[in-house]
Amino acid sequence: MPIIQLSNVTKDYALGETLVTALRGVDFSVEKGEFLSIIGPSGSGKTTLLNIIGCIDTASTGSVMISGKEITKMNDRGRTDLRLYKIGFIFQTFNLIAVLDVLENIEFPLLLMNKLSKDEIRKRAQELADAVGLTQYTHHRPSELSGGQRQRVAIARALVTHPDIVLADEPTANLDSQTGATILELMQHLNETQKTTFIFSTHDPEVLQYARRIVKIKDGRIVES
Amino acid sequence: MNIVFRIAWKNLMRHRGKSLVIGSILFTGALIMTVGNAVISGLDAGLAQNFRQRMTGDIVVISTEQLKDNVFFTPMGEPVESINRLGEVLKIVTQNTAVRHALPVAKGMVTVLNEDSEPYFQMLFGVNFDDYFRTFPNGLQLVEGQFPTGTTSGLILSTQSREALFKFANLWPVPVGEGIVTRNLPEGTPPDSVIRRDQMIYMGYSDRNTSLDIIAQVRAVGKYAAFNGLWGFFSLIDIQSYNQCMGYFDEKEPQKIAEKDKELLEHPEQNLDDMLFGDNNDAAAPTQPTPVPTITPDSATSGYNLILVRIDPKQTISETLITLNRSFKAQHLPAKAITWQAALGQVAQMALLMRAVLFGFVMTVFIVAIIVITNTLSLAAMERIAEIGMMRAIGARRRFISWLFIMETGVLSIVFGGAGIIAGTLLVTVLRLLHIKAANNFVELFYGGTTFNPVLSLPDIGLGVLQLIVVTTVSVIYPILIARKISPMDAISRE
Repeated sequence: MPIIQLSNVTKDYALGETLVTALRGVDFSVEKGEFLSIIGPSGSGKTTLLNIIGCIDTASTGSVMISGKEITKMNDRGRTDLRLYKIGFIFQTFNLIAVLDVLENIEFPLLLMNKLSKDEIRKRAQELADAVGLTQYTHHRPSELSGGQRQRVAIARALVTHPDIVLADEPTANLDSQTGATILELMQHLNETQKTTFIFSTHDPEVLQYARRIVKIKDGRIVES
Repeated sequence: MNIVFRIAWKNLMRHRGKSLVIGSILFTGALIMTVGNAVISGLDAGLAQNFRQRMTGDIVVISTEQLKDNVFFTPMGEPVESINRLGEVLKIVTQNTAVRHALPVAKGMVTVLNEDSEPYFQMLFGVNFDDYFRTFPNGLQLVEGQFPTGTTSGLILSTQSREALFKFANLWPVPVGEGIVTRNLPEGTPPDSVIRRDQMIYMGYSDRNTSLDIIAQVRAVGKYAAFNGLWGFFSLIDIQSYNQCMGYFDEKEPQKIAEKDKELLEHPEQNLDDMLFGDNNDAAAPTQPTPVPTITPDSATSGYNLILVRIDPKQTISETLITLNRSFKAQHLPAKAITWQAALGQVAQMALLMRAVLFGFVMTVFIVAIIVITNTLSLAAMERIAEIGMMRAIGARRRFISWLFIMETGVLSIVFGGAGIIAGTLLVTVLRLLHIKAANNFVELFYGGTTFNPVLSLPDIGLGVLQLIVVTTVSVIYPILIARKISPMDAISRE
């Protein structure tokens, strides 16, 4: 059974009085443990597709199944819990909590879950901070970090809950090639060891080298899968 | 909850400017509300102490024939109906377990007769002096003379009444056998410029009876402990003199009719024309004031028109009123019990109005604080769309966002609002220590007494805390509704 199953999904946005169609009947499925990249030109619907899969946005029509659950019929709380427990999201922009330091930002989803002890949370957050190369910056605030460092915090935060699915919108866009490679290797490692499903949108040919499946999207339609 | 508090605290520290704005409003609001509550309590306590414990009692019993409850300050001195079957009414009152004291009072207006001036009107309370001082031990302060006791007849003139007489007729009444006390004269008045009097000639002002002239000797000059400018319109006179003056007699009185009057009464066949219009007409001769008869304690009761009742402080006025009125009704007695406020009429309404104005002021502060804080927090919520939307995207439930706002506002409320309540408490203490005197009757009503004496009891502080909680809670509702509506997409679209 696919971990992600989209059937005839459309998404329309009202832009003033104009209706903009971002997705036009997308049929798309992802099996557990895939390492998949979505590519396409700007405005093709990559981010919209990721947002719908990540339960951040809702489809106008069609069916979206995540881990066997139809999310279009879920209420806000159900979608929120799905985001917390099943999905890790790495945003195009950093989206960190400005008042928390690096470790606290990484810990944040675990604290929301409230299932692990304080020590376990701290240990797991520290391990990920080390993994993304932020050992020396654990007590720095986001404002004290560079763009790349902030992105690494966001990546660590997305991975800390060991989600089933990690969605990443241009994850290495703000990283230097070496850091980008390190991050991708970490993702690949998690994918192989924990069967975590990774879906990321990118323009970067370096990133594409890591992808085992590439989905092309154009004008809101999947043109190659 | 720990992470909520951590984020809330750090947010407050990060946005110190906004925190200070909201904090200042909470501080000022809590301070004003605390002082306002204390002033209202002070007003209540002052009215209770000064009116209830020193003047009116808690409950006033009046005749059922009395149409208006406003019995003390009746318009144009309008007489108050006498209480019939007083003995039985008094028995019901005194047998009520809630009642501590019951003082029958005859309230009425008299004309002050003075050969050198126009007649002048004065209000009198006819009382048994011992009963009066037992009921209101701290009501009157002695200024001159000695308070009469037991069956002594005479008058306790209020300073207010004396000053009014001075202004009207240059009269300066003093207690019998005493001289003019210079320091008590109005400022700049030479003692030899005033007309000294140690007795007053009163003529009762009654719409029912034939009133008589009496001579009342001034026994003392007294000042009411509070509201002298208001309550000072009433002077105290022994009840026997009052009844004589107002023309009330009981069955024992005929024996005291003057011999010459008896003669007239005993010769009904005599030609009345001769008597009234003859050359040797005694009846037409100027009359001398009727001397006050020998006092027979409690012999004359028919002039009583009020019973001032003080109840046990542990009892409630409302419950005692109900039981008294129920008993009167059961015994078919022509009496009814009313509250001291009802008996005071416009004066109590004025005090109530003061209270309402104060309460309104506190409520205005309350509402303004809510509006300003709501506005500031709502703006803060709008400015934090990216942060809140991102938290929601990661998996924070709406409840988490609500708690975040509650925590932030709660911390400000506890820190600044708490400081406001403490500062308000200190300010109230300072205000009490200043002993600010009331400049006039109006301000005295506002103060609830002669000095500004705000009272801050534990329940008042509790009320302040409750008001603070309400302000905080109400203020945060709308901003929370805004914040809860923020979706992850709002954050992304902002970016």
